[in-house]
Amino acid sequence: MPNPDSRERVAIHCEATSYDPAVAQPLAVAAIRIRGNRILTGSALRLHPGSDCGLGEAGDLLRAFIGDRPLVGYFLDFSAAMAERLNGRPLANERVEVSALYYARKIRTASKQAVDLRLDSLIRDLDLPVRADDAFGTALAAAMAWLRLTQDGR
Amino acid sequence: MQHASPPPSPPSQGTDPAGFDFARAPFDLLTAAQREALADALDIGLYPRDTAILSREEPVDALFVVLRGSVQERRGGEVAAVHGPGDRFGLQALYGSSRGGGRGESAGSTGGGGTGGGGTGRIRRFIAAEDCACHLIPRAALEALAADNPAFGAAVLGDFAQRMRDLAAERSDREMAALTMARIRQAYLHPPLFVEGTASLREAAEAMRRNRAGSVLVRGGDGRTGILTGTDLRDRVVLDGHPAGAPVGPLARYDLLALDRDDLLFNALVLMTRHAVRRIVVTEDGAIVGLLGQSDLLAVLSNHSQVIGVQVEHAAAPEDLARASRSIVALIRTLHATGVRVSFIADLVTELNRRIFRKLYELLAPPELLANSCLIVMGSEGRGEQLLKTDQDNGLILRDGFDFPELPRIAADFSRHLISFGYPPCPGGIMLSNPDWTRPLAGYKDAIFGWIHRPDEAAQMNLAIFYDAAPVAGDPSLLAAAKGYLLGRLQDNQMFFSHFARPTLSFDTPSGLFAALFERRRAEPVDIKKAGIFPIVHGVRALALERHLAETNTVERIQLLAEVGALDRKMAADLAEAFTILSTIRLKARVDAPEEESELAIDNLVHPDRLGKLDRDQFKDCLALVKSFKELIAHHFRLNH
Repeated sequence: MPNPDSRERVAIHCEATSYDPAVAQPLAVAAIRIRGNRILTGSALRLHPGSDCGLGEAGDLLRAFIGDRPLVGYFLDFSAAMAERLNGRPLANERVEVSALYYARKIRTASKQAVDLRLDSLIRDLDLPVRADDAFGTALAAAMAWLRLTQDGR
Repeated sequence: MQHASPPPSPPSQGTDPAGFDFARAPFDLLTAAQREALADALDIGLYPRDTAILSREEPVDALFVVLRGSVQERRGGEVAAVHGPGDRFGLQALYGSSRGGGRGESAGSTGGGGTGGGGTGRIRRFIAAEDCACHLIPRAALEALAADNPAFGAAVLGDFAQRMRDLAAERSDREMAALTMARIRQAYLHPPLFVEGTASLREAAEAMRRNRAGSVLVRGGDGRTGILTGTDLRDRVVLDGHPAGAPVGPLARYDLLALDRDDLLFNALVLMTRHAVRRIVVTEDGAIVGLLGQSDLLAVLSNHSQVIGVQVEHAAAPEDLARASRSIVALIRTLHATGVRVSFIADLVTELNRRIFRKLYELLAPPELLANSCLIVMGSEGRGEQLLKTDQDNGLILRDGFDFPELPRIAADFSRHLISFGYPPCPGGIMLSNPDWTRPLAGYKDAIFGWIHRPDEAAQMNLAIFYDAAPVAGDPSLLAAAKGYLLGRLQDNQMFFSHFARPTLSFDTPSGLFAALFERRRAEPVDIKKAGIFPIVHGVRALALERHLAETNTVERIQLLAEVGALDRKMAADLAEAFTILSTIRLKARVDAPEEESELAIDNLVHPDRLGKLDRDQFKDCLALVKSFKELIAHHFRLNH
């Protein structure tokens, strides 16, 4: 069975004004639940803090959406830091970095080449039907990559 | 302000690979707002190779549409179908029993629910044949759209036959459109025949007779134009008692129905129907240029067949028939292009072919021979399912004791002429020129006895095509006697029928081709005859033979089998529908094939990648139905033991 663990997870991605979590302001947040083999895009959360909702409001919505579900993401620590900024408190949820999963997979196949961890390369290599050109697309790509990498790990 | 999505991905061009394909039927029926609603409601599922996407354990709450990869539908242990990108599945699972009641909002007629059609109750499982991605349309979203958009709802939720009919209606609308594009200009117009309003009724009648016209136009005193028809003359003079010398002016009718020469023929038809008249006036730049009769209008659509029919009837020599026969191909093209239903084309072509055969035989055979023999056609010609000229399958039954020395020469001439008309010789030699197929009734009976009791492959085929035989010329009671003997010889011998039915399964009906289709490299043409038409024809023939039915036409056999309870009514309706659709696709494939000389290629290959979206959907559904029909036949005749 691909996913004996039937807990839901949440794929998350933030776009912000800077790469530096210390000064960056979150611009767009997307969060998508994953249940079994399904990515629940139909009920995804898409927020643009500061434009279509207030920062605090965005934090509340996000916290309620995530609950205690483990987080999945690409460059997750940055997104999590942004989420914490919106929440105003630390996120204790378990975190799964898909680029780390991907790295572990590639290194197992013992190639001497450096592993290309860029998201586009990862999407192409895993043959995922997605285009990561905004917060939602990146969160979806992370969700797909996570499924593909954990499903295959039989 | 700097956008940071670390590391930044270059903006890619083209469509979103995760996007839903709204170009496919029935999703193309959705409005922009409905598409947006659907796109927002979609979930995505990822399934590694060999995982179960849908099985008994999993509650089904969505309709699946393949986004990438291919999915096998397994019934029992067998692969029943393969779904490729754009294909949808899971509806049956979503809505309970196998094929039972479609859940149309309004169509409560199927009601009853639980009565679901027996046998197909085996569990379906959907397995990822390779790494797959699917869009999932949640049930609630699907139903909301179906309620919003009844056409979409019917297409998605309706059951098989209903779904086929909707698709067919969509198509006939389009073909109807082509038909209605024809202009009045294309029809024959009767030149206008004018008389002055002061002319007498007698003079009007004389003008009509002189010009063989059914009516005259009348110039009224005040510049108006009226019409006086033959019927009007009769009514005015005979019934109303007006003297023949009375002027036509006051007696003509001035409520002329007129259309411009560039108006649509269809409008003329509507106008005639609405006013219950048989002719209208045609104008050009406001001036009357002629009359269009109802028969002329209809002739635009069928003139070819009438012309050919007349050519055949008036033929004085085989050469005249050759000309008529050649125009059949043109007729098929015209009818098909005009959007005439394929079953109608088959009827017409069958009729014309038989007339040609009959006329040729009558030209060659002296009356004495004609009275003591029966010319028969067999195979598809006998079933009346001939769409194009295919191999000759014909024979002659002679009355016992009748001897005719010149027969071999006449039979050879008959076959030779047909070849020159473009009916290719039968590779198996089933034609008049072969003495095996030109023999007395007693000879046929001996042969039938052999076919039944010593069945080998050739005997099976002979029996099958002879069972389809229809009389064309001469004494039809001879064929009836031979068939009566055939049916009388059949016992309830399970072994015999198993043997007879077995060829139904001899060709594979592909189902993987649609997945392959999307991976262009493996898109292979399908032999539609072997994969779809033959299994239906032969399976139905076996069932009909078992029930001793006398009908030869496949659709009629299906209907009769349903009446006697040998076929489930639902299966019968679906099967007849599928048979018609497959025949249409087959004809289309041939007619649309590049034209070589004036003949149509005898080619049964259908290239799924060249089919339109509509046809491809239907083709796929039909092949799936053929597959389950084959299972039914295998089960019924115990072919798996």
